[in-house]
Parts: sequence; structure tokens; C-alpha cells
Amino acid sequence: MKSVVHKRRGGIAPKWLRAAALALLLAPILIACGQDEKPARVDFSKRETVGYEEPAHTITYAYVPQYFHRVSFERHDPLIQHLKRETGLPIRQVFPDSFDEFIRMTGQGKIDISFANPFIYVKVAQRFGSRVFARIIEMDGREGFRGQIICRSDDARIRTLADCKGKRWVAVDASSAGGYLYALGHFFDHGIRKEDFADISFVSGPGGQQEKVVLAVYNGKYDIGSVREGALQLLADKIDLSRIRTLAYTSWYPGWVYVARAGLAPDVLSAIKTALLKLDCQSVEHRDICDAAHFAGVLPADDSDCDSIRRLAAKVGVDLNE
Amino acid sequence: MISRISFRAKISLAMIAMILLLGISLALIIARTASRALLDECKKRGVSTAVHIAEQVTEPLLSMDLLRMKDVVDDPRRGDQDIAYAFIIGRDGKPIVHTFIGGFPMDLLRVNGVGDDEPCRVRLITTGSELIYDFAAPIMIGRERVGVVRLGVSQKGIGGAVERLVWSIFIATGVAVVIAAILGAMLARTMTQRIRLLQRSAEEIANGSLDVMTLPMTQTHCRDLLHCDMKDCMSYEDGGHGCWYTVGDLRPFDAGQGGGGDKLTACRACPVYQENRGDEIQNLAECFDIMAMTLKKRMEDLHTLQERMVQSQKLESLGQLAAGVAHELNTPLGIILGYTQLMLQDFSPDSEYHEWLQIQEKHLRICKKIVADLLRFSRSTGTDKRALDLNELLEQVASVVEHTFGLEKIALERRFAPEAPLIVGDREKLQQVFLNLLTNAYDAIGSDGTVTLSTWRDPDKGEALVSVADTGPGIPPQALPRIFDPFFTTKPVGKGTGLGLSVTFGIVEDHGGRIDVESRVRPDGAEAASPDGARGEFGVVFTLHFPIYQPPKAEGPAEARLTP
Repeated sequence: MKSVVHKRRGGIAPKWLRAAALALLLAPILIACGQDEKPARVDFSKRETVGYEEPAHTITYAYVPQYFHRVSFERHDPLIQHLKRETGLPIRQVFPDSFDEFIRMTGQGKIDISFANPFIYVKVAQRFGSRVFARIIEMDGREGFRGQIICRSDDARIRTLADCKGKRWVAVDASSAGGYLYALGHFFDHGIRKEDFADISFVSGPGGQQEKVVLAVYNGKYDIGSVREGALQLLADKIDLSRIRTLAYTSWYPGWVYVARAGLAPDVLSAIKTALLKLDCQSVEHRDICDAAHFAGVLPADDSDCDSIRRLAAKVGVDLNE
Repeated sequence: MISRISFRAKISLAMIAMILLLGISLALIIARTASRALLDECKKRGVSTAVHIAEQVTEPLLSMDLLRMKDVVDDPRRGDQDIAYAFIIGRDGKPIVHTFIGGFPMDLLRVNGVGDDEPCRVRLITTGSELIYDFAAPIMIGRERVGVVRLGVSQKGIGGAVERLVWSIFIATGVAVVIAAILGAMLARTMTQRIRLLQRSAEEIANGSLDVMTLPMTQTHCRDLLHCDMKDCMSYEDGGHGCWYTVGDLRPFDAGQGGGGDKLTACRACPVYQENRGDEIQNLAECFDIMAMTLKKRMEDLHTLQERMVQSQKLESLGQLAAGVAHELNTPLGIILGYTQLMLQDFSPDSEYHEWLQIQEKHLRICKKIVADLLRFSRSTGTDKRALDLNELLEQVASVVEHTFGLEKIALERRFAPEAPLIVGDREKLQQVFLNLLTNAYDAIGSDGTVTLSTWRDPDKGEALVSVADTGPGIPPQALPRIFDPFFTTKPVGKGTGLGLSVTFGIVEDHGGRIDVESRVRPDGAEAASPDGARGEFGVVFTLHFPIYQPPKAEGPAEARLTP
């Protein structure tokens, strides 16, 4: 009889299988291990008290805050750099949060040079003795500008200016020229008085007033709004402008002016005026400065250039001391 | 070493090891991946926050609204504990507002300088006790930088989140390990229990006991599932063995499930198999039980065979003894019978002596017959085999006994095959066979009955068949296995010698045939079967199987002598 002997096989797997198993076991550990970035040592024990210090001996330049400060900065920083270069003066831009703050800071002497609408100017001239020394030419070549009365395109209740009676009116600021005063004069000329409106409101908060008026009308918070001409274009990439209808344009009035506070050293004023008037917006050198500041040139000006504003204020019953 | 560990421990250990490995691997990989993802997310969030602060702080920075600037830098810390600090650096490179309490760490200004063209720069710094991601975002208006926002995000938050995640995984792994250990033990227990049962069964077999049952009783019995009423089937009562093993092998007949062809293949489609099949260990246990059962049956068969051989040897010895005695007695008995017959002539038939002598003669003849039967039983006398027509042979025997049967109102019915079945045999011996069977039937019926003689052919098996059926009371089951034993008889004393069926059996076997007996015992008080019901309700049927004679193509005379 044949006897069959079964060899007992070893209980451990072959070498290659053991190696594979070991690799599988080590894989997670290898995967888990990685090179971390090396930190930089910072000593937190060396502490100092820090705080903001107002720069001393600088000429302050302010732009009446009708737009966001960012916009104001973008528009006027190149011009300030130009003035610094031309005059050698330490000029810096300051940013009042509102028309009232602007007037208050002017009164406090915190703003040496300001770029303001003529309505503000007549107010600060009346109150603080500020002096106008230059005026700008608008981008379209005009020496003045006008206001714009807007409503929503789909608002069937407002077809004519007369329809604005009994409606809610939002304006830029009580000290705004194109955004309030000019429109008020326009309504006045068309027999509409302040008391004919259901409500007259001014936008609040720092900066961006022109844009806020447009948005308030766009969103239906108010029935009509008043802005300076050209303000709508600031929101061209943010809202559908076809939903905004221009109800009327106001008459033309003097454009923005450069104002020096009372008591500003004459040599400083002279140097700044010269540098401003030296701007040739057609030249390659200054074109970017003028484009950024949204004007086409600067002309010398005197107080009488704003008399039309004083008359308009008197006509509509605005007290320049308020 | 491993081979010595118990099977149950191996399974449990394997499961625990697998889950531990999985858990640790997962924890490591997830910790690393999550750490990186969280770090990236943290960096994105830091960059986003720093840029957002830069946007928000531009206006108050220009207007030098220190309160608003302070609000802007403090605001992110209110909702996020991970923000370590925030501060604004002015155009002059000095910090304007910050979130530090107790002075500003000037050393911070030394690191992580950011260019105007970068939206944000990230640098990892360390205070010695804490790692902080420092984000520097320039505050740009157009192309002019008006300040820088610096934001510090502690890595503690990321580390804490990763740590919590890893702990969660470890706890889940621990719970899984415990569950795996329990499950592994339960699983191993079910396996090892059955293996131990197998081992015990094997030990019992080794100790000589073949009555082992390793498998538990099946849940669903085949007779219930298939609505089977075949009580003779060994699976009918047996709930412990899979019928897919027993059918066809151990069952005496095919129940229609798996008969013929590949049995297991057929059984796999059977609902009984589908319902009761188990795993590999159950299959092994089934095979084991079947092996034990088969072994037991084979051993029983062997035992029976051995008993028969011993009995046969005894009978052979007995036959030789009987033959010797019979041979010695035959001659004296013949002489005594001869003289008795002579003496009968000397006495008047009316005399008392004549009557005594007649009785003597009768019993002498009985003795003579017994002796003759003994001689036939014990001696292989010469045979004269020829091709025979079974119908003709049976008719000759029937005609001899028909008259005697008629006297007891026993009908003799013939159901002969139309085509005469031819066999090769010794005419005289076969006549004796049929005469014996008819005499038995006659004795069994007594009176009022039917004896049916039938012949037919089974060409498939190459057999010629003869059956002798009576409507008698039948043979009791306990007597059935012994009816062919010499001197066994159920007849009253003096009526049978007990050698008739033994002689018949021997002659049929000598002709290459076999005898089957089927008996249905008639209960007491029941009436005999009708005369036409020879294969009726009760009685005995002897069926004789003979090999069919295949005549050569050139046929000779019907009774041509054959070479034995």
C-alpha cells in the first residue's frame, strides 16, 4: 500500500508577502509623516506703548466728503503728490466724514486747503472767513455744473416735476450744492416749496453720499433723489442704471473751488495756488493728475465768482450760518 | 508558536489586529490629512479675514477714525478664540491700532513683510510657547499703499481640532476592537463548538460507536417542505442527515429529488437543500455523519453476511449428515414398504390388520418422501438442461394439480404471456419447483381461494418471470426471512417437511435465477380476496426470475439439448 505523507507547511507567509505586509503597515505612518514649515521666532515679551500721533507742521488738504474716502484719496492723492513736489510743502490729505465735520474742521483750522462745492464755500467764507483762490474746469469743459433730479424708471406716479409734490425726497446733504441746493432752487423756480414734499431726508454716515442717494431711490426707500450731474456713473458697475430715470436737470451754477482757511500763511497759499494753476491737463505730465481729480483744468478765482450761490441760497431761504 | 494558539484565539486576535491596524492607520492618515486640510482652511480663513479687515479699515484709516479702526480689528476676535491678535500699520510703518493688552510687541514688525503686489502673505511664527500663523495684507488704494493689516491665528485651534478628531477615531477604534473581540469570540465559538463536536464524534467512532450525530436536527424537514408521504424513505424520519447525501446512495428508492445524473447538482436547485444547507463546517459534519452512517450500514451488512455464511456452513454439514442418514435409511425403508405392501395382499380389506398395514404404508411413504427430499436437498444430482417454454411447463404442472384444487374450490388462474418466455432449465426439477409453490399455495388457502399463475418477460433486464400468487392469509413478517431455511415450516406437524422451499430455492439458484417474496398478511376476521385478485389485498406472491434463453440464429428444436 502506498503511504502518502503530507508535509506540514510553515505557518509564516513567504518573504515577499511579509515584505508587502510590512510595507502596508508602514504606509500610513509614512503618509502621515511630512515636513512642516519652520516658524520664525518672535519675542512677545518686548512690549511698547504705541498710539497715533498727529503729524506736526503739515499742510492739510481736504476734499468735501461727497464720495467714499477711498474715492477721495484716489482722486486727489496724485494732485497732493504734485503739490508736494511743486511746493516742497508737507501736504497731507485729511478725510472729514461729513459735510458738517468738514465745516467744523475748517472752523477749527484743521483744514488748510480744501476742495469744496461753492455752497460750502459761501458758508465757510461767511462763518470763518475762508477765501477762494481757484476754481476748476469740469471734465466736459464747462466752468460750472448742475444738479440732477432722479426717480425710479418704473414709478408711474412721477412723470413731471409737479408729480414730486407729496413725495419723499432724499438729498446728499444740507450743505451739498449739486446734491441739494441746486435742486431746491429748481423746485422753487417751478413753484414747489420744501413743505410740499412729504419728507426731505439727507443720507447719513461717512462718505459716499452721492452714491447713497442713488441707491436709496434705486431700492425704493425714497421716491425722488437729487445728485450732482455725473454721480450716476459712479454706480454704473453696481446697479442697473436703466432703472433710474432723470426727471430734471437744474440750472448751471459755478463749479468746485479751492479754498484756503483764514490765516493760512500767504506764501503757502501762493505756492499752492501757483502749483495748482501750473497744472496743464493737456500735458502728458499732468494729464493723469487731472483725470484722477476729475477736472480739466484749474483757473484763478475770487469770492465774487460765488455770488450766484449766495443769491440762490437767499432765494430758497437757506441761512448760510446754519 | 502560532500553530499552538487555539483557533478561537486566532480569530479573535486576527480581528482585533485588523481593526487596530485599520484604526491606527486611519487615525494617522486622517490626522495628517485633516491637519493639512484644516491648516489650508485656516490659512484661507486668515487671508480672507485679513483682506476683509483691510477693506473695512480703509475708510476709518483715511479719516484716522481710531475708534472705528479699533472696532474693525477687535471685531474678528469676538467670534473666534483662535485669533491671537490683529493690528493696523500706518504708512509710516508704525502700528496705529492693535488688540494687544499691555503694549505692542515691536518684534512683530520685524517679520512677515508684505509686498504691494501681494494680496496677503502668511508666515508661521512662534512666541516660544505658541505657534501662530501671521497674515499680512496691504491696504491699497489704487497703487498706493496706505497701511498694512496684520492678523495672527493661533495654531492651537487647528491642533485641538485634529487632536479631537484623532481621539474620536481612537475611541471609535477602541469600541470597534471590543465589538470585534466579542464578535470574534462568538464567531469562533460557533466554529470551535462544531469542530469539538466533530472531534468527539470521531473519538466515539474510534471507540467503536457508530451511532454519532454531529449535525443538529434540520429546521425544516424535507417531508414538510415537499409534502412527501414516502414513509419508507430513510429521509422521512431522519432529520439529521442531508437528503442530498442520502438520496440515491442509502435510500432504497428514488424520491424524485436528485435521482439520476449529477445528484448534488440537481439537489442544489432543490428547496430542501436551499433551506437546510450550511457553511463548510456543516458540510464537513454532514459528510462525517453520512460516513459514520454508511460505515455502520456496511458493517451491519457484513455481519449479516457473516451470519449467513456460518448458517450456510452449518446447513452444508447438516445436509451431508442428512444425506448419509437418508442414504442409509432409504434401502431399509424400501424393503419395509415392499413387505408391507405384500402383507396387505394377505389380509382381507375388511380386517383390522389390513387397516393397520395401510396406516403403516402411509407413514412409510411419508418417510420415503422425507428421505427423498433430504437426498434432493443434499445432493447435487445431475441436470438435464434444455430450452424450455415456461408457459408449456407451467401448464403441465397446473393440469396435474387443477383437479385437486377444484375439490377445495380453489381456482387456478393462468395469466400467461402471449409470447412464450423461453428459459434454459431442467424440466423435471423446474416441475418440482412449480409443484412445490402450487402445493404451498394450496396449503395456505385451504379452501375457497384463487391461485394465479403468471408469466411475462422483462426484455430490459433479460429476464423471464413467473409468479405464483395466492389469496391465502400471507406469511407473517417475522417468518418471511426464514422461509427458505431447511426444516422451517409454518404448516401443522405432519403436513410439511420444511424442505420444499429450500429445495425450490436451490433449484432456482441452480438455474441462475432468484426468488422474490411479497407477503401481505390478512388480519384475523378479514375475508379472503376475490378470486380475480390474485395480486390483491392479502396473500403471498412468489416471483421467480430466470434468464431468458436467447436462441442462436439458426434455431434448432425447442427442446434441443444444451451443453450444461
